[in-house]
Amino acid sequence: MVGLVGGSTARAEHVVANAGGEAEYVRRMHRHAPTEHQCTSTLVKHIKAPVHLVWELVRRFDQPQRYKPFVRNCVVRGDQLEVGSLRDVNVKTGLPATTSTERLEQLDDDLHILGVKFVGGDHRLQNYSSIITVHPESIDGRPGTLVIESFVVDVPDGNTKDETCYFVEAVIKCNLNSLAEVSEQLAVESPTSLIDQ
Amino acid sequence: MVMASAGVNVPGGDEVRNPTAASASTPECRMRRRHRLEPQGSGDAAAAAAPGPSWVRRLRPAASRFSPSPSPSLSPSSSQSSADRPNDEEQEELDHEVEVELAPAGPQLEPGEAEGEPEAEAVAVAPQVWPVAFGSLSMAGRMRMMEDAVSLHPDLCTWAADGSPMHFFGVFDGHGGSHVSALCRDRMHEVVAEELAREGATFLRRRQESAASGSAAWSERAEEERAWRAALQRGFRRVDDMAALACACGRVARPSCSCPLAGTSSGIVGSTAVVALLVRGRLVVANCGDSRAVLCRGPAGTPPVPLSSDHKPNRADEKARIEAAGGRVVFNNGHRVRGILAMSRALGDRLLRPEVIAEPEITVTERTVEDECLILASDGMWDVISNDIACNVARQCLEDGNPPPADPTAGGGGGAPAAGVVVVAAREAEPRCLRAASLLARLAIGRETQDNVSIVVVDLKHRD
Repeated sequence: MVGLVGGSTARAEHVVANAGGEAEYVRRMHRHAPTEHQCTSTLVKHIKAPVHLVWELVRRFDQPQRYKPFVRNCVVRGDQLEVGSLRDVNVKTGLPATTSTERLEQLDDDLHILGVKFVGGDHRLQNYSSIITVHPESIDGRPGTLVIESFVVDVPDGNTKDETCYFVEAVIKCNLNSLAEVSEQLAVESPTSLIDQ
Repeated sequence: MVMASAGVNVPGGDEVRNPTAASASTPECRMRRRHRLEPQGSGDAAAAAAPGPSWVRRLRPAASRFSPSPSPSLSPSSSQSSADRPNDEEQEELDHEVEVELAPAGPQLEPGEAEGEPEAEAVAVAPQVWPVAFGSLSMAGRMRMMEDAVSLHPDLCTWAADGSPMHFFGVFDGHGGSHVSALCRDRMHEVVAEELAREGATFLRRRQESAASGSAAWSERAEEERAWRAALQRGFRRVDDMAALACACGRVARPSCSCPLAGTSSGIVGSTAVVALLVRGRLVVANCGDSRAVLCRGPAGTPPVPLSSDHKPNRADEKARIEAAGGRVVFNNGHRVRGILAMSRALGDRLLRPEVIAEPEITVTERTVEDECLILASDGMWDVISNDIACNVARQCLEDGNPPPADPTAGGGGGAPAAGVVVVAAREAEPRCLRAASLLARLAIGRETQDNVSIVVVDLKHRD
């Protein structure tokens, strides 16, 4: 279950365990400065898979389709993958956009931080910027991962802040649920997880 | 009004029964039923042969046979306008994938309908002939991916009560990938046939029990409809359950497929499904999503009869259901569930449950001799062609064998599809149903639909 914490327009859907730790991560790593016409929110997901497996999926700026269910394929421009690189994401049919051009803003393999900004495409998410971080935790005595994703985005004409937050949160929830499914599947299949246990 | 009569000259004359035989038809009908059930295997034959000796089939009074049935209470909501869809001008390559399926079915001579009313007149009325012929055409249009699928299965199975043939036609418009629509194309008819056999056996048992108990509450017509509805509902549910196990590589299995596409591409993948069952003088339509079935009835100018209602998230009752399930409808290049999906019902789409459900809405419509044709199509066509225009185009193709005049509402250049978009076969060689489907598809492309287009046209008069 994906929960909401922090953020200026966040809604507390339920009380989450280990709130202190999460709040600290949010305070230090998920700072956004929304303007009057923007909305922002933060979501968390607990995944029963070791942090290295989850991070390996999250950090692949060139292959978001490995866990994002909305992505059909992705092409990174240029040869070198580094901060500032652009990717052109093609979205699956039936969804409210067909393409999104995105820039890699942060990639920290030590702190497990990925930052991405939308810079083009036919979606309605102007000035969208997101930060996703992963953190080791223990779930039922086994190595697990706490994933936190936050975003800020302009409110499109014709929508309310509440609607915009709701829509973006819906997409992120799909992404995080899929991330959990894929990484938990990898954890079951991976011989490494046996050693960890 | 012209009534079909005994001895009418129809193809496959060996199936025509003369008036003399009609008066002593009971043993012959039983023989026919047994004959028709032979390909189904002994199990089905045994089930079909179950009716007790007390059962007697009665003919309906002639007058009620041709009374027009009321239109289904459901009416289609406004089609999503083309402005609601993202402009795909960057797709400079137009895909020429064209799937043409053609298999005209011979006319079906079917026994007259059995009625339970004890007051029915013992009128010797010749059985009504309910012809079926069809054609379909699918094309990717401006989308690069082809995610539509069409399923054509005339004489799919026979109805247990009387051996009448049941014809199956379906259109499935996939999104997010093609494997759910492909699954529907490959399995929906099989699953529905299984459920119809099951419901048929139940129907026969219940009828026998009702006759044995002398119950006056038995209504053959209502019980048949209940059975058909139940079969379709279960069929949709079973295929939707399979969709959860469907992998993008095409495999449906538990545990999940182990190929690289497993899991990661099954989240936002789904399909519409509009299915028509034609049995004796009735049209049964089950719809889930925003494809559509429309009946062209009567001479030119008669309003089309919608047999399905589009499942759009902003349809008042659908929006209420979505909100009751804890979801929301957000406008985002169109009204969308969670701002994500532009239809409120679909098979698949696990990540959007519980708001997006796979339960079909079902209509049962009485055929009349004035019915021209049935059109099943994906929203790639209905978004740019109204029910009225579709019916007029199809009617004229079927009546004249010639296309109607150029579309007056289209601009000079825009009216004609771009060269090479559509493969046009020699007109003289095309049966009329295929010609109607082809013309409708070209019209949709000419009106710049942005989506895949799939069209099935069923000629209910079987001209030619």
